[in-house]
Amino acid sequence: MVKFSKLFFYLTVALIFIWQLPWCYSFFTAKASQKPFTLYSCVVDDFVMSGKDNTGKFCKTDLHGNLYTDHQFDSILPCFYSRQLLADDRFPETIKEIPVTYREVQSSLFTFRSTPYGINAPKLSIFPLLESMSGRVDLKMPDDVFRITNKAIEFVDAETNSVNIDKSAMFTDMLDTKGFRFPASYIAGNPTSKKEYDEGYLILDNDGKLFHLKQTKGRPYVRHIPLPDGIVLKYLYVTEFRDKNLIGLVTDTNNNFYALKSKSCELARIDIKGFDPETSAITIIGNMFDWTVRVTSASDDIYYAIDATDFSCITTYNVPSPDDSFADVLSALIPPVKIHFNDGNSKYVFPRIRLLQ
Amino acid sequence: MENIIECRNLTHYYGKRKIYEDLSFSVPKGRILGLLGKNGTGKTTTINILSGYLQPHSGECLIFGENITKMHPETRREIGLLIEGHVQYQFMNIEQIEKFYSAFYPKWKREAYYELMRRLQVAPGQSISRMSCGQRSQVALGLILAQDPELLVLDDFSLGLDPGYRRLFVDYLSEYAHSENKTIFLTSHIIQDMERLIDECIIMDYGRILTQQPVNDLLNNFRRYEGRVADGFSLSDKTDMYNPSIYKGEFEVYSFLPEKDVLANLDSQGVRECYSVNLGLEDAFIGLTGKY
Amino acid sequence: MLRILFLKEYIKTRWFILAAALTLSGFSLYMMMNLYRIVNLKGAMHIWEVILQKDALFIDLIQWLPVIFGILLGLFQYVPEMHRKCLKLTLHLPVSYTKLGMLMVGYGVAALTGVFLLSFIILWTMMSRVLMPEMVSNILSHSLVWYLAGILSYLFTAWITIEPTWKRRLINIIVSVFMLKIFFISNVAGSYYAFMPILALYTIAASTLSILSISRFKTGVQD
Repeated sequence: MVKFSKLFFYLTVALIFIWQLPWCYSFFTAKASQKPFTLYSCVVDDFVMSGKDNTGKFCKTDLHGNLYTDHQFDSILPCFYSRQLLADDRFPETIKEIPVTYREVQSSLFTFRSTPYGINAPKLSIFPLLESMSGRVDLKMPDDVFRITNKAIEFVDAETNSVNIDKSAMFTDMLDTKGFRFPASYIAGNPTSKKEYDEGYLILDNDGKLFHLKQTKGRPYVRHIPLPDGIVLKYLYVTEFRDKNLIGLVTDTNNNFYALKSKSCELARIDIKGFDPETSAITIIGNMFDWTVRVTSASDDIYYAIDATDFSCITTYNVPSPDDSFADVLSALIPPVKIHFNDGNSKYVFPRIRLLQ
Repeated sequence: MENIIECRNLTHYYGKRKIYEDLSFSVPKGRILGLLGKNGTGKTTTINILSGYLQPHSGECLIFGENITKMHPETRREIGLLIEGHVQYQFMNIEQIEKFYSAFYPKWKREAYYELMRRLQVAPGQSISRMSCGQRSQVALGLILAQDPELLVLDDFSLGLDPGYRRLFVDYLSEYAHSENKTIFLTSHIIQDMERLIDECIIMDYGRILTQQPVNDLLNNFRRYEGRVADGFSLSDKTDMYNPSIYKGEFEVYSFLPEKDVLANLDSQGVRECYSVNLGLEDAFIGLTGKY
Repeated sequence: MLRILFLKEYIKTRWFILAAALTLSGFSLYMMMNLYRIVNLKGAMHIWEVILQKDALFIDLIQWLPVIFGILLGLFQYVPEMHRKCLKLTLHLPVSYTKLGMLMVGYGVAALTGVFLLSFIILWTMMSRVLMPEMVSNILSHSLVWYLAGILSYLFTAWITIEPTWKRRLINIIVSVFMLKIFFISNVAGSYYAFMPILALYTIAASTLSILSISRFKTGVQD
């Protein structure tokens, strides 16, 4: 046993070294990375950015190196800076030769973000189902939450902490009627009352079929959304953007990214290269003409300009991530293996071992 | 005669400081052996090695024929250990501690312990932490007597005891060891106490054993010789003479040689009015090791 | 023998264990009464919403207590053994020192588990009245990380206290601080779900560390 405890002690010391030495290095040498704020401008048909240039001077420019004043910059991003343009009385009557109103532009603006840190996180499979058609302007949190078991959907009343049998039976019957096979394999929604309207939840059933669940006037609204052959969905997002054009955004097992249109319930592929929500972050800043989609992974940062009507790719801009050079710099000093327990891409604490080249 | 303790070629260092080298001794069954030495000669080191709390640099120490570092736990039943300062579990009371130890020793003699405790006149529930050093020494002794081991290893048993408790301790131990034919290995910094108790002694100097022999032999054979000498006198033949010294014309020296031979030798070298003195153990110890 | 060895450990630690059980249970009760008060004032749904949206645990107050009690129990149990090297008496008993060491550690782990279990039961029963079982198990499974850290801190304290040299003791303290830090990296309920079995195995293996110190004590290692 003494041999074992000695070995155990030395292993523990080794573990601390390979954990803490690289950490110490990155702690003392970390530099803030400042990436310029980048958007696609449909006016100049190029990506434009505002931020510090190589000399550390703040500037607004495009990929071709043209410099813009603040005033000019507002004008080349008329949707994003529509409030500023309206305030300056410079809001245009047409954008891309299409007549627009300030109200139209405003209601089409949205921001969407998904990060691995949010995806790779423990989640309680309990959800509040808001009333989508309460008749009131403001949404209100319900007094119950639901869970989906192997056999049914169950609503649990918060005050009594017990299952509301009638409501559960009513929703279960409806799901059954629509061909839902319990249990659910994925449930997505935005369980908050701080949003413009409620679209309920997108749910994948046990067979991978997609369903849309809402509560309207206390009654279940369940819609089965047929998927094109061969598409197996993996991650779902309910968007609840102000223009109500979409129900959500979804990814499939091949890391394709789709928009789920609300009227037709069709899936439209968004023309970006593979996007895996588990390893990449996505930020979309959209307007009625185009979306600027930024996909950030460990290796690079890709900006896509996507046409807002057919989701085709207008142009892309790739910014490689700076090399993680500390292994080269300190390779003589630090052990060839690195271990860390937490990660910016996950909320899970787990030993992650990495061999350094 | 069967040896209960046998230490062979013990060598030990603390860092680079050598304590002793190739130290060998043995303790036969039924003997009470005292280890005497000045401070820092390695008494505690030897006791620690013997009780299994120090791995010697080299050499081996056998107790009941077993190497102490690999001793079977059961064998420790036959070794009673008294730690310097009569240390015992301070957080227990005298009943709890008896109950505790009795569970480990099949030959446990409860009466032997409580007989000693009756002399202390302490309440059964009294915590050991609230006892005087003298009372604690009796608890420690009582526990060893109740354990009834074949070998007792006692580290500086007289530390912190007043003369009454020292005498009580020595008398109890002596009576017990002789009547039960037990073997005892002990150290003490008070040599008078040892004299009443031990049969045999090992006297250590820095790094070596000066002598190991029965106390009676030592006291019978080892003598001090005193006489007067002229200024500038120096002993020319020091063979088998220990620690000669001169103070204001008074000369003294110690020797194991026959009295007649020493007196003749000293006379021939110019020591006048020479005579021999019989020694107690303390004087014999000083005669062998020197005053400083 | 087991009973009597445990008796020795019990005598050293009984008042501390009582105090620890009362304190931890007291804190657990206090937190639950606080939870009930919020339920009464704002309704259960408010609490549920906070749990769902903000990963709230509601029992963060006790997160350091198991570690503190683990360290204190280690000190209460092993400092008396090291006082004037009393451990020599224990190791002189006719039982192998690995067995003695493991039994002493076993007592401490059992005592701590008892104290933690009491608090756990209080939290479980009181929380179950107002929270859904999923929420209760999510929160309490995270508290298991803290309780496990408490047990590991006890094992480390035993290891550090028995260690005979100050230099090595200092190294042991540094190692312990880093290892315990792992248990407090995240306060998101469920974040340790996959890591818990590994941490539990590590803790089981760490119970042998005190044997390393005992072995060093026995060979008389000095600074």
